[in-house]
Amino acid sequence: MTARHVDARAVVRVDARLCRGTGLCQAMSPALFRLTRAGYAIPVDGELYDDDTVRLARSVADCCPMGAVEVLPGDDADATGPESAGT
Amino acid sequence: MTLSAAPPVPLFGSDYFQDPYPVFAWLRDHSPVHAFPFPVGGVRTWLVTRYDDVRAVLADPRFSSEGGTWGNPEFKAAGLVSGAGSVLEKAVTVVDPPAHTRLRRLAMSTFTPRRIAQWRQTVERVVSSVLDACAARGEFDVMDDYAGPVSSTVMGEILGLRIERHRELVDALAQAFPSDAARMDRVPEGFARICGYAEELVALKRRSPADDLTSALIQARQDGEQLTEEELVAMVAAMILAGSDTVRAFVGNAVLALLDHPDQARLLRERPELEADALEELLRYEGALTTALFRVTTEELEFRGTVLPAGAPVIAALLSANRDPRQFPDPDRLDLTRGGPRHVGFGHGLHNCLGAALARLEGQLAVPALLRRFPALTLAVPRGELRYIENWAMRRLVRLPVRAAGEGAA
Ligand code: HEM
Ligand code: SF4
Repeated sequence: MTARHVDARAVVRVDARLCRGTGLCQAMSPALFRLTRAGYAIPVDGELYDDDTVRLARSVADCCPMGAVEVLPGDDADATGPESAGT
Repeated sequence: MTLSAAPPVPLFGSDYFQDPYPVFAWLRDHSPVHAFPFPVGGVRTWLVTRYDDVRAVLADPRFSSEGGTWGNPEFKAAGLVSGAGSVLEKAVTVVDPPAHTRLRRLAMSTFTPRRIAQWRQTVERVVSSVLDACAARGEFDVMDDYAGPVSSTVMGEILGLRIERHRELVDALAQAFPSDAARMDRVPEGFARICGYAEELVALKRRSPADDLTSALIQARQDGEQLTEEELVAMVAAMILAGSDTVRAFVGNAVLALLDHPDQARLLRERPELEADALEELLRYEGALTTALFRVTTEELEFRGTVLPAGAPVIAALLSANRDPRQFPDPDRLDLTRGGPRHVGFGHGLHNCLGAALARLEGQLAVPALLRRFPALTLAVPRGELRYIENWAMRRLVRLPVRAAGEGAA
């Protein structure tokens, strides 16, 4: 994933090998996930910028029946630690 | 849509239950969003049968799972609200977000890869001991002697139910999902008994936690939150109710599909690497749930040209979606090598099967194991004598008598 912005809080990914296209992620948040024509999930953007969105993405990851959704710390958050993350 | 149209045989009548596919084919072509009076209370209900539409309904938050909140007065008065008046009223199956998200996260967190790996051993052990019992019988009923004991024993062991309770659980499940439509009056008692076992189990595991799913659910914690006592009982009961008879039904349907298609059964025996794809195809071809549970509209809306009033009950026909030729070429053919687009046998959207990992494990072990153990397996009654239960949501054979040693054997 290329860092288009330096201040992404987190990055969300879907592991294509695990996804079964259940559509739960898209139903929980169409802003974050969509299903491709083949019926599998991909992130709409992938980079998450605020705490609420990160929290939502984590909920989706927790609910996905295949454990296919991953939320990873963004490059910036990684480098500077969570405390410094202002809005 | 023309209004006068009616399907070839009445919906939810005896002929429909024995073979719903011609009705589904007609509905998909002539009335894809079909209004009809639901048999209980004559409540005006809409049945959705095309693949795209089924997925659209199940992914759209305006189609709520909370019948108790959004259902119209006729729906509630007819007693169609699932779990009304019991702990199941707030079960994961029948609540919307945010309550649903909270319950689903907590429950899902217990389905860890480590636990699923353990379940594999449990399922393998149970399958092999039940197969021994079937071998000793020679002639047996796949529903009562194989799929039933496998599914309920696995569920009991996984949850940590005391062994003395296993027999009673089978009994309570038979009451909750009767094979005989005349015994519908005992359904609430079956549900109540299962809630009772769940309550007892939660109390037991609070006192003496062990390495089982109930204990894991008690300990589950996400963002400092845990399941309340009522939520725990409802969750354990929901697992028993959603995860036993469904597996039993599916194993029966899958075995019959393979008996009906000997070439495919041979393929499965000869090419074990096909097992994962085969399982998905068997779930598409004839999964356990004919339809999803009721959805109700939260507002008046237009769906594919049909205006649905607020509070309208809507049923998504999963097995119809799975046979939609718009999605699956030659849909009535069982083809274990099919691959391709995803079926909706486990539902779609927020409420898609939470136990899919366990269901797949049981299906993938139990179905091929039976074929391998009894390579000459045949029906022990004429094909035409097989009957399905008359239940609108579940597709399950009443009995599936088979002979282990094949046709010629005594
Ligand atoms: C082959 C067997 C199975 C089939 C075909 C099946 C099918 C389904 C379907 C279609 C739904 C969605 C219902 C709806 O949208 O209204 C569902 C939900 C559910 N299933 Fe399964 N199921 C199976 C096995 C299991 C097992 C073994 C468990 C338990 C561990 C389980 C637990 C659940 C639960 C708790 C839900 C509700 C999920 C939610 O509301 O978020 N199922 N299942
Ligand atoms: S919830 Fe998980 S399995 Fe389902 S579509 Fe999204 S990523 Fe895929």
